[in-house]
Amino acid sequence: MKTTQHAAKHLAILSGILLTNAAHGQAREPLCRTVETRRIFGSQLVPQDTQDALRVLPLRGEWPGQARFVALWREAHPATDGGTTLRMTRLDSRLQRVGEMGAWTSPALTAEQGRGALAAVVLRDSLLVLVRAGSSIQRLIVARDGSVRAEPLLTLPSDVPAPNATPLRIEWVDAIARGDGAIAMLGLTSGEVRAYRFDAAGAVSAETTWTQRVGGVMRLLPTSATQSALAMLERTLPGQGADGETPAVQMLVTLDEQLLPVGVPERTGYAHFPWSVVARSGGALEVHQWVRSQGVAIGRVTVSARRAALEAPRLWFAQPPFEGRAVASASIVGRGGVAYGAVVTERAGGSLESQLAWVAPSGEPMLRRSVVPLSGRLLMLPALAAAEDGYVMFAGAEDETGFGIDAFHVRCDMVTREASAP
Amino acid sequence: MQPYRRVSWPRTRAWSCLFATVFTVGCRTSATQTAPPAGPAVAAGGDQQGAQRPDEPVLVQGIEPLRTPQCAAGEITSLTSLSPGIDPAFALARSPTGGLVSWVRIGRAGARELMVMPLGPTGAPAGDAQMIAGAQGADFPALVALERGYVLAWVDRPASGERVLSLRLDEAGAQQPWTGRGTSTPAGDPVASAGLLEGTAAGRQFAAPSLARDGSQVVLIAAQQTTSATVMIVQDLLGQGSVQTVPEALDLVAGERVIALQNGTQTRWLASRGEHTLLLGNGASFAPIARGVSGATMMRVDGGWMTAWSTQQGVVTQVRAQVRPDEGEPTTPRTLAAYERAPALNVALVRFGSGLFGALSLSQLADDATGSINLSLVDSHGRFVGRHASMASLRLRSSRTVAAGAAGPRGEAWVLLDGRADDGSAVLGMVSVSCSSDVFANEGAMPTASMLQRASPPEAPTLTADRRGGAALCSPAQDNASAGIELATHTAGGEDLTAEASARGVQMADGRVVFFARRRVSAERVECVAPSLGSDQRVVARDGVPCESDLTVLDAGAVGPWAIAVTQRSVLRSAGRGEIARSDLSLGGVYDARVLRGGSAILALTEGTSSAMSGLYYLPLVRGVPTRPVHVARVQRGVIEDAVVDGGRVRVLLSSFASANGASAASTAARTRALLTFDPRDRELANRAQHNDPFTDPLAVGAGPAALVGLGNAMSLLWWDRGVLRTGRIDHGVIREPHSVYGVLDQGGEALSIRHTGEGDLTVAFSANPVQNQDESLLPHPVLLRIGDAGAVTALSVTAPSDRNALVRFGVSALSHGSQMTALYTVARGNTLRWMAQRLSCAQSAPTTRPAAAGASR
Repeated sequence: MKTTQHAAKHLAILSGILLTNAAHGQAREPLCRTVETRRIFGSQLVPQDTQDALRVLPLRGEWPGQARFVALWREAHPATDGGTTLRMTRLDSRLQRVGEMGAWTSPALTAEQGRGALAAVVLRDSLLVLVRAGSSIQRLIVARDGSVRAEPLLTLPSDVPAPNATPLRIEWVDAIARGDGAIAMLGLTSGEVRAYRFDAAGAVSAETTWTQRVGGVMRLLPTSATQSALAMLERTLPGQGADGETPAVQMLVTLDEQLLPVGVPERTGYAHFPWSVVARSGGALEVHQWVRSQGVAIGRVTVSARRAALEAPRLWFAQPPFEGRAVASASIVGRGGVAYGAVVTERAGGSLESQLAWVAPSGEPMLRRSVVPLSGRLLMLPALAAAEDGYVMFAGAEDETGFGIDAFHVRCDMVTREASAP
Repeated sequence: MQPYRRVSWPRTRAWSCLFATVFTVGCRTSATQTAPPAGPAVAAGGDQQGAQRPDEPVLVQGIEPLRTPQCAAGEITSLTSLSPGIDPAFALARSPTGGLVSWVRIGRAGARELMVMPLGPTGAPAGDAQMIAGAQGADFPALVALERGYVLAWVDRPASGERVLSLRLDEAGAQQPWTGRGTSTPAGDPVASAGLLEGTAAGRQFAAPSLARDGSQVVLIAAQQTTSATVMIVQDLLGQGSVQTVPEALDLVAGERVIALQNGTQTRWLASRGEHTLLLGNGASFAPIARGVSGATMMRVDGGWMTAWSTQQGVVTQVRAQVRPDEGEPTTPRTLAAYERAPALNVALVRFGSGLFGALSLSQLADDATGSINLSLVDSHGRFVGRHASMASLRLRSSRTVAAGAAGPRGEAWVLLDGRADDGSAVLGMVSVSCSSDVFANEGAMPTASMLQRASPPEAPTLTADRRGGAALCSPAQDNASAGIELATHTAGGEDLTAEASARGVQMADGRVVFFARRRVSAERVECVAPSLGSDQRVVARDGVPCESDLTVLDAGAVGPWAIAVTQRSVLRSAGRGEIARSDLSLGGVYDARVLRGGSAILALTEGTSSAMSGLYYLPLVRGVPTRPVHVARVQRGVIEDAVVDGGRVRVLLSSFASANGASAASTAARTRALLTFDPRDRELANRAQHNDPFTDPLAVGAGPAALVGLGNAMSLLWWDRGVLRTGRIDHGVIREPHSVYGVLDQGGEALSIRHTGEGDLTVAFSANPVQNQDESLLPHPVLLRIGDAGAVTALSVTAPSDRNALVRFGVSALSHGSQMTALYTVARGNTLRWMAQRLSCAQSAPTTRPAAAGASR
C-alpha cells in the first residue's frame, strides 16, 4: 500500500485552502476558528418559514441576571391559543441563558414570515421592538423587569382592496439607535414610506410621511446623532441574474432632521447580494457585500453632519472562488478595530458554509473559508456579536436533531506563517 | 397619489452597469500581507440587524482554545487479501497483549466464510489467518476482548434459516470452552441453545450482533425485527440471558448494529429506524435523537455517552458528534470534519487517554480511488479539540468501513481499512494512530472542523470551450442554418410540459437517425413513435403504438438492423422506416435500463426488496424482442451509465447515488461508480448474483455523468467533473492517470448528455454558462463534442443547435456519423413541445491538441 505520496497530496489540498491569501515569506495572519458551539434554543418543532428574523443586541448597563445580550426570535409553531410568541431571551457574557427579558404572543404573528419584519433597539432602560403583526406594526416596550407594553405604531385600513389591486401591506421596517432614543422607518407595498423618532423611553416623538414613493426595501445605516441619518434603498432592476435572482442596486439616501430624503439617492455600486455595514472609528461606515462566489466588495461612506461621501466598492477576490451563492451576511466591529464580515454560502444540494472577511482597521480584508461549522437548513439569518477574542455568529437552522439557534464562538489569533517559496 | 412602484427618483438604466462598477473599480485580489490590528477600539455592534452605536463595547467573554495534541499515524500494513464483490464486514478487538481481527470472505465453493487472525502487540499478524469451522453463510462478525482471549459472535445463515452464533477464542484465535456454559461446539455456540432464539425464516433478518463487556459480563445483543415489535436478545454469555421486546419495529437494516453500552445499572441502546433515523433508548423503549444520519456509533465517555454519525447535504458530508451526559441536557451536535463526495461514510470512536477521544473517518474517494484518514479529537464534553485531516493516505475500496480498537498501553489506536493494494486488489489494511500527551500541534497549520476536504480541482484541460483549435469544427449543414427539422411533437396533458416528454435518438449505421419518443397526441391518447431522419433531411413518420403516460424512454441504441429503445415495461423497435413495434418486458419494477453496445441485449435495474438495493438483470434480445431475464447482481440503488460487450464479456458501468442519509438522485450528489464484468454465457451467473456487488470495489466517486471509452486493456472512463471533461485508464479496477481533456472555462457548465453513438464514437453535450456582460441573452451556451476511441476530442460545435428557441437546459444531445453530427433538442411554445434535429457538417482537418498551459484557465 502506497502512502507517502498520497498523504502529501492530500495535505497539499488542505494547505492550499488554509493559505488562501497567505504571503510568500513570513506573514502575520489571523487564524480564525470556532472554539465553542452553544445551543441557545432547541426544539423538535421546526419552523416552516425560511429566512425568518433573528436579532441579537448588546445590552449596556445593569440588566437582570447580569445579562449582556438579548436574542429575539419568533417561535416555531403557534401556541395552543393560536398565537405565536416573540421570544426575548437574555444571555450573559458567556452566552448562557439568564432568563427571559420578555415575550409577546399574538395570533397576527402566526402568519408572519420573511425578513425585515422585526427591528429592535436597546434603549437606556428598555428594549424597543417593532414587529410586523399582520396589517400592523406593533411597538413593544420591554422594561427591565420583563413587562411588555404593546401598542400599534401603524395599523393599515382594513378596506377590501379593489379586484386585481395589489394588497396593501407593510413591506419592511427598520430601526437604529440615535442619541438617547431611536429612529425607525417602514415601507408599504404602495411605496409609501413613514419615518419615526422615539425618545429615550421609546415613545414616538415625531412622525413623518414621505411625499416620494419608494420601490424597494430600505435599511437604516448606523450613524451617530451628530451625523446625517442615512438609509440604503434596494431598487430592483429588470432582467434576471445568473442564478435566476432579481437584480437590484443599492442607493444611498441621505435623510434630514425630519427623516425626509435630501436630494436624489446616490448610486453606490453595490448590487442585490447580501450586504451588511459597520460603523468605523472616525465616523465612517464600512459596507461589506458578498458578490456571488467571487469574494467581498468593501467600500466606505464618510458621513458628516450634512452629507455623506461614498467610496466606490472594491472587490476582493477569493482565490479560488467560493462555491455556492451567498445567502446571508452580517458584520460587526470587534476589539482592535477589526471588522468581522461573515457570510453564509449555500452550495447546490443545500450544504452551508460560512466564510469570513477579517477586515483590518485600514479596510483591507483577509478572507477565511469555512470558519463556522454550519449544518442543516438555514432558517434564521445570522446575527453577530463581538467577543473579546473574535466574534460570535448566531444562526437558526434545522439539523439532524431538530431546530436550534446556535451560537458559534469564533476566536481569531494573529499567527506568523512561514509560507512556501514563491 | 402616484401609482405603485413608480418612483420619483431616476432609475438606473441597466443592471449590468452595476456589475461594471463592481468589477472594474478597484477590483483586486486580497492583500498578501496585513498589518496587525491597530488603532483605538471602537464600539461593538453595528451589524445589519438593529445596528447601533453603543458607547461601550459589549463583548462576549473570550474562550481559550483547547490545544491540539500532536498525533501521528504509523505505517499502513496489509494484513491479508480480501474477497472482491463482498463487504468484508471486519471487526477488531484489542487485548492487553495484542488483538484479533475477523472478516468475511468468499470461499472456494462460493460460501461466505468467517476468518480470524491474531495480532501481536504492535498490530502485526501474530499467526496465520484461520477459518472458523462450521460457519455457514457468515456475516457481521463482532468481537470483544476478555482478560485472556476473545468472544466472537456473528450472524450465520445456513440453508434452513438464520441464527446468531458465538465462540470463545484464545489469544491465538483458537476455540476455547465456555466458562460456566459447558463446552463449545465446533460449529460455534448457537445462542438458540439457551432457548432464547430460534432459527428465523428468511425476511426476518437479524441486525448485526453487538458485543459489550461490562465488568465480568460479556453481553451479546442481537436484535430481530417482527412486523410490530423488535425483539432484543440480550445474552450474558457468561451467565443468564434475557429477552427484551421493544414495542415498536425498528426497521432494522441488515448490517446496522444495535449498540448497547452499560454503566453500572444504566444502559443506553443505540439503534436505527427507517435506515437513517437514530434512536436512543433504555432497551425497553426508544426515542429518536437524529434524523438523516448514517454510520453512527456510540462510546462511553466520562460522565456520559458520546454518539457520532455522518450526515450529508448535497456533495458535502459532515462527521458530527454529541455527548449525552448522565445528568442534564445533551450538548449541541458539533461538526468534527467535512468532506466533499464522501457518501456512505461511517465513524469510529476511540479513547486516547484521559478525557481525549478521537473520531476516525475516511475521506472521499478521488479520481484514482485515493482517500485519507481523518482524526478529529474531542473531549468528554464533546468539544472540538482539533483535527488531523490527512494522517495517512492510501487507495481505498470504500470510505464506509473504518474500525478502531481501544487505545493500547502506548496510547495508540488501531484502524482497519478496506483498502487496495498497488495492483488494485482488495486488502485489509491496518494503521496505528497515536496522540502525544505533551506535544501539541502548530495551531496555524491545523484545519478547522468545518474545513471542507476535497479532491484537487481538475487540472487545466487540453481544450476549452472558447478555444476551438485542435478539433474539427462542426456547423449546421442546412441552407437555413438557424432552422431545425421537426421530428415529433408533444402536447401537454398536465402543467409541466417538459416533465411529460421523453425521447431518445439512435444513430444507425447507414446514416439515418431513428428517434423514439413517447408523446401525448390528445387528452386521451399517449403513444410511442419512431420517426426516422434520412440523410436527405427528410423525416419519415408512421403511426405510433399505444404507450402508457408514465413510461419513460430510458435508453435507445442500434442492435444489428434494429433501432431499439427500452422503457420501464417494454422494448420498442424500428427498422428505421418510421414504423414502430412494441414488446413487453417479462420483468417488473424496472426503473433504469441500457441497450448493450456491441451486443444484442438489454441491462435493466429493478426495484429491490429495500429502498437501498436494486436488482441488475440481463435480457438477451432475439430479433429485437427481449427474452427471459437473468439476474446478474444485487447492487446499490443507482443507474446504469454504460454497458458494452468486450471480448465476449459484458462490462456495465454503474453509478450509485446512495448517500449517507438516503438523499438520492440529485445531479449534484456524489455518486459512486463501479464496473461490473460478467460472462453472459456463465450458467452460474444467477446463483452468484447475491454475492456480486460491484460497489464493494468501486472505481471512483464523482458528481457528473460518465461513460466507458475503448475496449480491452485500453478501456478508459470518461466523466464530467466540475465543468471539466476528464478521462483515465481503467486498470485492475482502478482509474490510472486521470487527466482533463476539455473544459468550459471559469463560467462553469452543466453536462447534458454523454452518449455513445454508432461507430464507437461518444458524443458529449453540455451547456456552458453565459459570460457576464458578453451574452445578451444570458442563456446557457450549448457545446457538442465528439470523442474518439482514444478519449480525445475529435470534433466540436459551439454553434449548434443554432435555433435560439432551443431549451438548452432541458436537454441537448448529439449523434455522430462519419463527418456529420446531429444535434437533438427541444423547443416549446404554449402547451406544445417539439423535438428537433439539426444536421452538422464537420471539417475534415485532423484534430490536434494543444498544451494545457496555452490559454486554459483552470
